[in-house]
Amino acid sequence: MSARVKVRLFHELRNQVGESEIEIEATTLNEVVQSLIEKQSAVRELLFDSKGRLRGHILFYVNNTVLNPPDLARKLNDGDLVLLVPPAAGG
Amino acid sequence: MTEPIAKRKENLKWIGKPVTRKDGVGKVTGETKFFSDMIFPNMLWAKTVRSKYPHARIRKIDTTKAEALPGVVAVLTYKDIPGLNASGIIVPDQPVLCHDKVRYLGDSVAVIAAESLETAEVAADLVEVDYEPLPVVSDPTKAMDVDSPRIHEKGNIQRHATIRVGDVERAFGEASVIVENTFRTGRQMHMFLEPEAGIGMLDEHGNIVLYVGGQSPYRDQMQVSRALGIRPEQIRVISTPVGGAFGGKEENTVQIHLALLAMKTKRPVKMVWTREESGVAGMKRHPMIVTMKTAANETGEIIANKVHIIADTGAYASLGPTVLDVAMENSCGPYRVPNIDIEAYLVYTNNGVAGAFRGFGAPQVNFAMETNLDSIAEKLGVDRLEIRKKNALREGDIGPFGNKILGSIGIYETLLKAENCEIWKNREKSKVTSSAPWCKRGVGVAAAVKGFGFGALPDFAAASMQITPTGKFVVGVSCPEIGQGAVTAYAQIAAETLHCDIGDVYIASADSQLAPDTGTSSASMALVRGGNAILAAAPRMLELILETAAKITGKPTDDLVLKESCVGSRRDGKKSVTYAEIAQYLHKTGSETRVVAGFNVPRVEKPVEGSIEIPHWSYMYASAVALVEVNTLTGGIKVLKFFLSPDSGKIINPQSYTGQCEGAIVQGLGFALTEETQIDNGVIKTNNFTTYIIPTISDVPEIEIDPVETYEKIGPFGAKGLGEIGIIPVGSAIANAIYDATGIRVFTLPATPERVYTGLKRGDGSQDER
Repeated sequence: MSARVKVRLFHELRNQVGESEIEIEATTLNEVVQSLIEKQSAVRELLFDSKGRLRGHILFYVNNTVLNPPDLARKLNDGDLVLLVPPAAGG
Repeated sequence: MTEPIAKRKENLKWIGKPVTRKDGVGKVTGETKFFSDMIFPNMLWAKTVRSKYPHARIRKIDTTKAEALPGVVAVLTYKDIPGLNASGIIVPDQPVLCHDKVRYLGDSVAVIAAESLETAEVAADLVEVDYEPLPVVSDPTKAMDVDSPRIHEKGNIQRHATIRVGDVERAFGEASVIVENTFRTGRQMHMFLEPEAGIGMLDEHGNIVLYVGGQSPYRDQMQVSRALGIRPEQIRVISTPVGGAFGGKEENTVQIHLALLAMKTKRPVKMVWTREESGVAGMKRHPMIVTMKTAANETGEIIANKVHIIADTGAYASLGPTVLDVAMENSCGPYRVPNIDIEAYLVYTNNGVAGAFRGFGAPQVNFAMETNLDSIAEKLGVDRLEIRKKNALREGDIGPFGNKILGSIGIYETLLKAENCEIWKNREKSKVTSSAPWCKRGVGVAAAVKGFGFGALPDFAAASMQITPTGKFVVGVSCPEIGQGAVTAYAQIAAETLHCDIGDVYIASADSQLAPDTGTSSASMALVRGGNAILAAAPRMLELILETAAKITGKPTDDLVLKESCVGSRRDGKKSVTYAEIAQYLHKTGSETRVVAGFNVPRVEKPVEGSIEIPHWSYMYASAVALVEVNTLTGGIKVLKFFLSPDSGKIINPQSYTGQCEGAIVQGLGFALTEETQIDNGVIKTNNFTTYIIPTISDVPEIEIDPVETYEKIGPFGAKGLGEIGIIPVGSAIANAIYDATGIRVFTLPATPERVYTGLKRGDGSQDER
């Protein structure tokens, strides 16, 4: 059964989706990602490379715990808070 | 419509002109009020309780006595953090308030808000923390041992990276000359005149407002949002004016603490780190140990470079992972090197925290490469400048990582400028002159490269434009002015593009409520990010203007032509409608007056194997020549003249350009000669201007800047970045000049009088305890 989770977006993800926080029905983190892509297809290019591999250095958090490395199969529960932070610095 | 303007190279009204800095008068007269100067009604003062040990377990935190002190309004610990108890833009590994462990003397254990600063300071002393001291890890090499005490659970090696291209061992076997040396560089402090400071408060809706001089309001907003567990829109960050940054204000410093205290007390709260606190808790440049083995063939072509880097990131990663990338990317200099083998480590210690600092890992490795190249030239009997010209990257070349360099490449042309500068041409004459018989003069040369932007990482910038009821423009760019002249350059680009006077452009910068996310003022990228975002927004604004003019005049848009702050008719040159009339029409009819557009920074699809962000799409370049005098009795170094030829593309504002270069050279003098944070077993001994010596006006040499203006196709009007390239070759050129004067090779920067004197006494080039 799907869980209702709160997803908070930052930087370019926020620009692309047009909102900083949305509620999504999802059972896994992967479903959150797919839901975002359905909402705005440009998100795919932000999160995945041309071979469909998740880009490095995107920070995924569930309930204030960073998933390192990101585990898209991670199960979600009702009320979970998911944060997606794309790379925000470099040199 | 905008494309031709952005590509235009001639007949430009504002681009390339020495427009007076918009922020200049206020800053030089002292009228500008920084956040550390500001006072708000009903304001509280904040103080941080910092660790008493460089490394310790926390057994208990007792705030009872501090809370009981009259005048104390709030004492917060880790228990009061509703969201993620961590900061760090790339690696969130630094506790906002420590819970069970401290890892350096700057670690925060509690924050206090009180009616006065004095009360907050007394209360800070009343917070009782029961520590169990742990062994201090101070030597980055020993920190890598498997049996070294662990600073973080996963171990002390934060990152280990290797990049290999070609076959270095085969190349070493075929080489005519091989040079191998180990280099050390110091822990430079930013020493901005305004330490980390800010004010936090709530607005009438209960949202947080942060006035904090930083390098990106949106990155600060993200970190505060993450820690407080609230939506980013509930946090407004205003990041200007900034009293100096140089990379040291890219990370969270006071932001989250102020937000927590403002939320708790519902009053304005001010926090200003003392200079000593800034020294202990603030970011530093990564000290590095670089072992470099470089080989060349008989003609002086570099054929291989094997590099081993150990970077001391201190207690937390901060931006260290990408600093390590830049160090790797720059370790082969601006040269063709067909075989490379780079191994790099980012290591945790209890030595403060290292993070972003102008150059971002490049000055450290540049020192190694440029010294080795000088040695190779000497062994081969080749001119030092000729060997650089021979190996310099040229348009169409493949870079050391097998990547075709897509941006403009002006390193060879900067070397030609260096060859023709007065210092280089007169080098032999200079050597026979000196101010005293025991002083010796020498000339050194160095070349440098650095990418601008985040390389292969995604990088997006947006800008807004609004036409006011009087026909002027408010341009929203969130990159803060950190002293580089960005806001003036934005105004020049906007005025050029919008066909108006520069006085009609107001840049609403560095405010997350007034400007869209333009990214950071970092990575020498503020001009390219903000400038290109303005160029993306301008066509939309011009389209709005033309469509409105068509409605007012009844003429078709293809008959209309943009003129100075007005729209005229192609057929009827006399008739025109002003921007003010267009703006009035838009406002009276309730029409949209604001446009927003964005710019995606070009990047390669996938970083080089083993890296995070290598390669960059385009690079800045520079060549430098230094004339120094060495006092052989004291080891003291005086830099008499310095020449710098940067290639940072088209110059938008020559005054700002010169200022950036001169500032970079002077900061480079500190890196080269005096600036080194002394740390003894995790305790910083040099945390103020009395013990940490930065160059003063009496140390500044005669400086000549002679730029090469290549045209960078991804930059606004052909511009690249500039902020960092000037500092990168300074230490290298000075070190090579010291050798030219004395025959003593410098392997450790800063080249302090003690080190140089020891080297001279030993006569074998070794200057320190190694």
